[in-house]
Amino acid sequence: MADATTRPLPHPHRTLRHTLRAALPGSAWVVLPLALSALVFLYPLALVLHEALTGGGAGLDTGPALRVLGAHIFRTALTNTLRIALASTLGCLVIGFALAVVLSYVPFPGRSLALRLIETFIALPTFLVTLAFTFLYGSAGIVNETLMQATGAALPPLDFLYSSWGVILAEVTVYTPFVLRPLMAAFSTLDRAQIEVAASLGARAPMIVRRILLPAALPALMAGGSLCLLLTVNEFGIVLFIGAKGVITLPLLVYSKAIQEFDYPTACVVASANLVLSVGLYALYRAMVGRMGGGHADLV
Amino acid sequence: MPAVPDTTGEGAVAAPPSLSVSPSPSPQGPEGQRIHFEDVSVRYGAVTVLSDFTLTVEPGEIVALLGPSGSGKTTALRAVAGFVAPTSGRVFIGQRDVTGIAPNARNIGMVVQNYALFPHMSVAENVAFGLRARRAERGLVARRVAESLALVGMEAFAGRMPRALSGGQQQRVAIARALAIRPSVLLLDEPLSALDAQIRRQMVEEIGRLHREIPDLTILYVTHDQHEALTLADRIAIMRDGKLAALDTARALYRRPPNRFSAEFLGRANVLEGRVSALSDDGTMAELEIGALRMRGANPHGLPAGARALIGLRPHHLTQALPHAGPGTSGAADGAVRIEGRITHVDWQGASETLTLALGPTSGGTTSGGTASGAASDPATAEIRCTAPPAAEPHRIGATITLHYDPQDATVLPHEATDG
Amino acid sequence: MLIWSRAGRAAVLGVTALVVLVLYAAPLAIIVLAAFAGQWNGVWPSQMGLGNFTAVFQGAPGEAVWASLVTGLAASAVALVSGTAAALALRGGRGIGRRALDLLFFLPSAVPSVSVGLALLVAFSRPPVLLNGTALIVVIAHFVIVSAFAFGAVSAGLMQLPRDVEQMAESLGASAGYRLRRVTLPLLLPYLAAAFGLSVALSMGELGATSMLYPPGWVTMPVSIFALTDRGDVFEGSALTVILIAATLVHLALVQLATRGGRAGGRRSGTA
Repeated sequence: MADATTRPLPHPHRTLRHTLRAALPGSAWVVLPLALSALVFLYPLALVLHEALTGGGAGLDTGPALRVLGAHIFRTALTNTLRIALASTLGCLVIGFALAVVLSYVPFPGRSLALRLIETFIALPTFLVTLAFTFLYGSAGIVNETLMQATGAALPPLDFLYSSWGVILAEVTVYTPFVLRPLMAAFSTLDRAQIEVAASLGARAPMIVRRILLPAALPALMAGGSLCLLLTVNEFGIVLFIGAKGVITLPLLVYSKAIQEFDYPTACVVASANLVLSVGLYALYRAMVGRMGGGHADLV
Repeated sequence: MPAVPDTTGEGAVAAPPSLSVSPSPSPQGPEGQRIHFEDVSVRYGAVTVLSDFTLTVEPGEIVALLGPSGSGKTTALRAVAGFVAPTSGRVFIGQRDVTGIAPNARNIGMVVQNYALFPHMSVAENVAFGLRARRAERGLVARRVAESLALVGMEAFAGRMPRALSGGQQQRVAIARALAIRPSVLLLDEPLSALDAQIRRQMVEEIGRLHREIPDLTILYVTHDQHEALTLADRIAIMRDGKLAALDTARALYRRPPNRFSAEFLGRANVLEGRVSALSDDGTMAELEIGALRMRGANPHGLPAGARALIGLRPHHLTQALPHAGPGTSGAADGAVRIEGRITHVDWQGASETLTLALGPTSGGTTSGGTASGAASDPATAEIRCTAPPAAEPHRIGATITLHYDPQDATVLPHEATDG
Repeated sequence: MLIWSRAGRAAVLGVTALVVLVLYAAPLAIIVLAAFAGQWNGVWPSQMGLGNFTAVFQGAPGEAVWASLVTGLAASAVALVSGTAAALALRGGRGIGRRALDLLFFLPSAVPSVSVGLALLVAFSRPPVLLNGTALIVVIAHFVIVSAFAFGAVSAGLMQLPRDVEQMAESLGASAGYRLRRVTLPLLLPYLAAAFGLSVALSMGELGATSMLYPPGWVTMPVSIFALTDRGDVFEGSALTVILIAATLVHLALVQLATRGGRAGGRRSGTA
């Protein structure tokens, strides 16, 4: 080589330190996170399940658990949770898909601003929307005040906020960005020439949406939808802030049993049931993401 | 990304054996190191990517691994680098068996198609990386970086970030980075494939010059481009389906390809199929009967009369003018083979044009004078391509022309049972 | 594209604008408006001023800002370290063991936050470890909640890294540690920063687990906001919400700025 006079370099991996480092497999890194997870996640969760299955007693006793699961309040909370989650998810999918199509294929000034505004909500707390909705649609909110002044009505004409509908509207707002994001990604990989070719063959917008965009978006819709389902089943802040008497969901039931009634055994049973439901939905989400071809199933 | 075994795991664990070998000053002075594959096979499950591959690259030699994609050439190179673990067989660099040794202990320079520069380091830091990984002292690092960059003409760009460089410049830096550690061998994996045609030609010359400046550097050069292989390589190894299909000097392979695949892959030879109908007295020349057509060519394999055989002939060896036609000669030059064909396609490329001819029933060799024997026989479907400087008058499709070739330029090849 | 007629485009964009305004712009605007309002009797608020903010900073809610920031930064830092370690360990691995661990590290994101809170309450209100009533238990809860997210973000980042660049480092003689320090982590930096930024944002908005666990002296912003609005102090609650939003966005911007300022552009050098 250029100068043969320079001494040869020391060979790498020569020192003892290097030898040890080389002998240590990379997977040793897993010890720290695994220990942390076991201590602050698995162990506490196992205790909750244990509590639920023993009813606070010593041996296995599913009696108390079954009583809780059979109780009217649990049944109501479960149906509420599922009803709200399904309705919200459906709303997120419809609005998310429509927004994604417009944001991807109908250029307009302020497009990126709109996208950023919507995506910002991913980083913001969920209850923010509920709080804002009370100012907007509450009994003394802007909309009702305006309507009452205009019509002279004595009672607020718009009365949906303190019901499941209020929760659903808030959840649709909060979770639509989670559907929008994978959809935008899916559309960005779709070859635009497909749309141009379809249009040149005489297809109009509805047909293009139905025959080209929808099939292309389907995996992302499934993934986003199952994520929505999981997040809405687990949602707590929105329901708490609405504070409607009739709207009790599973997470809210856990909270009220534990914090307001100090009934930990019941809270543990409800939490366990909620956990089974959530983990099932999470499995569904992973399966959908796997089908989408994405490697990792990170939420958010 | 192909299924690459996790080299950080098993490779690193297997590293210690090398330590007993390496403390002696790494042998990389003026004498280059040989690369030796010994029956190397690489299998992923049921798929065999490389099969009983044996090859020696002599010190200071450039060997090109040439083949279509999927032929196993990159796998072979990555086995030398240590990113692919052979399922069986061994890889040597110099006298050292590196089969189980981690990539970072092999002292190899490697350059890949997409450069793989470290995007967060400047050009100089990129080039210094291997030296710093070896804890080389500061002065040496600075000297080597300057030297290596000078070698590829990139001194002026030391402070730049890779993204501020063109593809060709990035590849020069990648080469400098590989050379800075004074590797015992240099592995080039399709180094020019990502560059556009003009830069590619320039870089081929650069690499040739580099090798003249560092004549002791052993280079394994993987490419699918026959031009790069013919220009740079001392020897060419043609790969096909994970196997070594041919190995020889570039000139020998071009002149006397040992088999059909080599003949067609390197230089796109015409290959026709027939039967040996006659042999010269010493057996070095053979005549093939291809339907009504008779074609003569060299018979390096010594095929006997009656054997099924192929004949390979380069398109540019077919001429309309007579080969070796001296000033006084009016007829066919001595021994030249004459064939007739009907033009079916003309492909004009500026400096040359390629005619595709259907060898019709009227055609014949030197032995059959051109009698119009009827009926469609084999050669009616056979085609032959001929490349020549463009004719003054454009050729007419359908016209019949006569071509000649020197039988020494044609090679009779053994018939292969399986056709690729 | 897609809609070529002028009228059709106007209609579609009109509906879109309405949806975006009603669902996203209006809520943000109204919170900001309420944060500055002293009274809201008619359609629009009145007595605008900074009164709500001064009230927040003079009272107990002011401490919530501090509690939230400390909790978020601490929990996210630990989550980032542990998530990076886990992601590096599981990288490129195969088989059932790897898949099980992958699932385990993602699982906290599937568990309702209230249940995470309940579980920690149950586990650490009894020997051998008593943490109930401490700030630490809040930090732990936030760690559990953001850990899955940090792990996921780092894993996704690792998958984006050009493998050949790291292999090149190896072939140039870099040991595993040197390669990690000089190549993998620098290339990963933008992903780590993004993971950290969103982790803190996530933690600052966390309500479910915190509601179950918080001790009197460690009230985070969301809990404080709920307490304020629950007892009717909606304007002060709005002011604190605006502070929470601002803190989140400023933090995200700072993280983004810090990474962009650094030289690490996790971009692939190849042009192919």
